[in-house]
Amino acid sequence: MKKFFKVFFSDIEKQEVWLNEMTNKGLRLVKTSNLFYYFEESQSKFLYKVEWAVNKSDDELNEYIAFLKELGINSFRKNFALGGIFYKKRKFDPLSGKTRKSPGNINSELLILEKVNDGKPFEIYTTTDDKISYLKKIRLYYLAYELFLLIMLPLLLLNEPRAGFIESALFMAIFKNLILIIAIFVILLLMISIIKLTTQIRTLKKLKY
Amino acid sequence: MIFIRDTLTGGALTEATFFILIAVYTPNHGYGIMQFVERETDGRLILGPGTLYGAINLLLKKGWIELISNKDRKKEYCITEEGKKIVEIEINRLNNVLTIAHRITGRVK
Repeated sequence: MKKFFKVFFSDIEKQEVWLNEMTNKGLRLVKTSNLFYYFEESQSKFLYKVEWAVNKSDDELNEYIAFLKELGINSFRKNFALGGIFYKKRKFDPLSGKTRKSPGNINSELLILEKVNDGKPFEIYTTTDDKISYLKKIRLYYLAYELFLLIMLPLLLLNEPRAGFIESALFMAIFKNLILIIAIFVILLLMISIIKLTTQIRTLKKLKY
Repeated sequence: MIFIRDTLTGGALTEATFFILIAVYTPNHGYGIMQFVERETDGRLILGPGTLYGAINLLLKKGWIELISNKDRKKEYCITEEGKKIVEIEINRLNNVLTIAHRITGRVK
């Protein structure tokens, strides 16, 4: 078994491309974890698709996985980006403001679908309407996070580091700036994704009539 | 539900919905439906797993198809009386469209 450390942020397509490159090297995905992908050598070729599954509950996800299995499609649960922060199997979701207890929703925001390469193209959604509503679902999620971060950013900028938490003022200043840089990085990443999705949705809408 | 809007545009069923209904006149499972549609349309219409899943769930919710067995852990679906009525209506609508089109374009049916 070969282990690869790999983190993809908001770029789901990049992850797809990478997985499909691995299969061309004769490797087949067998397991995923938060930061790693596990492969085994395989003679057969496969096709991979990564689906955004954050809107599905644990039960819905299990049902969907069973349905896919009947179609001959294997699936792996995968976390989005670095995975969520959770404590005792409870994860806080800033979008709904709820802590999620269901293990299915913790770090399985994505679903990797695997199909034997039979020479036919592999698409999850094949009607224009389905493609649009799928992309809109992702965009809504990104927009909610973007909004959350944009509200948090001024608070972060205005707040003076409070003494007492950590005594060194210099350390606090570094700490604050580091968080600021990460926040701006994520805001930009999300913005790029949102623009990309909007262009894709617009192109699809033009196809309709 | 997002799919309802897609399925009922102006009373017309989407092609995917219509073909799934026809595919389950005799009990059929997910993979069978997928193959049926691809075969009958000579590969013109292909249903991806996500599209098929959404459409089947919508049809189940509407009561146009039902789950009939769970043998061998494979789910089989079959059309209901309600679903057959919907198919009849759609056939009439399509016939009507064709008749008008044939008359206007001067093609004899």
